[in-house]
Amino acid sequence: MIEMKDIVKDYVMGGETIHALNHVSLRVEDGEYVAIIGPSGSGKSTLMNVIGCLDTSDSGTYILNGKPIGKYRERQLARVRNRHIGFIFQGFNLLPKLTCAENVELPLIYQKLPRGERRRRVKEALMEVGLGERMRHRPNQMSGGQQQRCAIARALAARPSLILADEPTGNLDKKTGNEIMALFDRLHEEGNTIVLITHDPGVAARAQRVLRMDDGCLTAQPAGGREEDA
Amino acid sequence: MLQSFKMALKAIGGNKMRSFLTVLGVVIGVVAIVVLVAIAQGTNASVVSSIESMGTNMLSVSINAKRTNPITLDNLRELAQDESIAHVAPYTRVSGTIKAGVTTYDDGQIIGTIQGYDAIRGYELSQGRFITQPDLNNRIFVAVLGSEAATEMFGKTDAVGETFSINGYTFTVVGVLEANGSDSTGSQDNQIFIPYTLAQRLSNMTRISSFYVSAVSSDEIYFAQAAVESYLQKIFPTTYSQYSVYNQTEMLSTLNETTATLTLMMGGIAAISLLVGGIGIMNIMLVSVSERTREIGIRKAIGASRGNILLQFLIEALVVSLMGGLLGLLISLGAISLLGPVLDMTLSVSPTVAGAAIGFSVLIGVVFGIYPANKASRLKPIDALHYEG
Repeated sequence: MIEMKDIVKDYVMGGETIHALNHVSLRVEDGEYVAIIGPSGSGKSTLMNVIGCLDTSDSGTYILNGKPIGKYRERQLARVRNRHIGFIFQGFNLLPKLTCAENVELPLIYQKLPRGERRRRVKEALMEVGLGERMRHRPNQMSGGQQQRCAIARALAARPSLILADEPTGNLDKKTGNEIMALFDRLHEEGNTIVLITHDPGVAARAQRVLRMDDGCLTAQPAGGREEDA
Repeated sequence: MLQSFKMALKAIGGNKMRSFLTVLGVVIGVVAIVVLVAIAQGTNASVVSSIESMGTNMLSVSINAKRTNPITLDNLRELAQDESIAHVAPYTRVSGTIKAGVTTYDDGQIIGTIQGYDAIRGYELSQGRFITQPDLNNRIFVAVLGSEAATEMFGKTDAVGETFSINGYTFTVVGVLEANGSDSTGSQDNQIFIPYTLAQRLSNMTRISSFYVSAVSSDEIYFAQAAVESYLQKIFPTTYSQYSVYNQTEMLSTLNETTATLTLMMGGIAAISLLVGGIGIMNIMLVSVSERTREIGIRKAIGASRGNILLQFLIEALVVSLMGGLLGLLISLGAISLLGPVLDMTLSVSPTVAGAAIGFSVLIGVVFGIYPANKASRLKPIDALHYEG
């Protein structure tokens, strides 16, 4: 469960202060599927990074699963990223020199799981995303859709309490994008908590709840507001 | 930990040429250290063994006084009466042209001495006899040859009865020595011994300026030295510096000090090249950090802590330096087994030196790896992820 209150994050760019997050409050329940839409530069990526503990806020409180993340130090944040958050990026962010299976195994190595357990979880996660037979391929031997599936498997293998996806279909064609979104739907049905950011209203429409980010402010998207998106 | 090593090997294998060159830097450093130190130690060992082969119960005396030198054979005979002294034998080098038939033997070294010299120096006769008192008394033209001198002059070692000439004087060979090899003063087998009295006459020299003394046993060496010194003190009462008495043990310790300094100096020079290798590691690791910023970001995003990243890069630096160290050691062993026969030395790598070389290269890996590793680990995940490299 995510509980954010009055989160502020400013950037100074070219002598000008940009309010990337302007007193943002957000609450996401366990098992929810939330989409955040908004034009580029609206601060949605910053919000995502703060939720994902990749970045820290300047002020405000952030509680993840009852833990005061805002007060955590770097070492504790790494642990939270490792065990509680599964990141899925637009650019996949797989390590090019590792095979698909090795990429999926990586967070489990940082969790210090024994080898047998890692193997089992990698296999399980790859089966889940339908990549069972592609284990030994390297990212550059796979299609975009396959790479994203591999990245999703990597997020799932760690068994996180929250899956964060940053434009997961942004680098994919429409058909592949739909397949990936279908995968998200299934993950949601299985009980995963998902927060997804996108600027594609079609993608956002699959979520239970859609929030809109504008100039660092988060507002609830009114129902049927799909047409007006940037 | 094992996983970290696998990761490091993967990263090193990912850029083979670069890794090879980095490893090479360390290899050269280690080879330089190990081989140079081995040569220094080999030199020391061969000199020490040749000094030891001369016997540890020997004193070497030289008289520095020139015009006022009163030492004669009678003095030596008197000195030899001391109960701690076994033999006293003077020696003098004579220059002259050596001819055996049509052969001129240029490498021969003519030494005038008396009976007992062979015992002091530990020479064994393979044939015939050494110089005797009658030879000295009557200045008989006889000679004892080193084994090399015999083969060079007569093509054989059983040369007793053969004749040759020094500066036109004809000598008869009365004895041939066993081969002795070389010592710090050069080969001993090219020596030609003639009666001291004859040598004095040939070189127009009346006084004895250098002689050897042997103690009855190596335990008695200090008594013998005291006897020699007090005897010489009586002859040269004014200044002490007119003669000097060396004993082998003192020579050995002086030598050991000198070669220890030499070894240290050579090792130090070689260590500098290892240091350069270390800077190579640091350079490559820094390049690697900025090249792999994105990788670091990804790893951090999926949960790698600072410690994980630090360890990863440190282990990479360590593996490179350790590979360099081991490879360097192997190459050194090869180089030494090749160089040994060429330099005519017994070269060996002591476990201490091998351990030190490996240890030092690992140290280099840690020292020069820690800065890039620390730099990598400090990257903020968000900055690293968005880095466009």
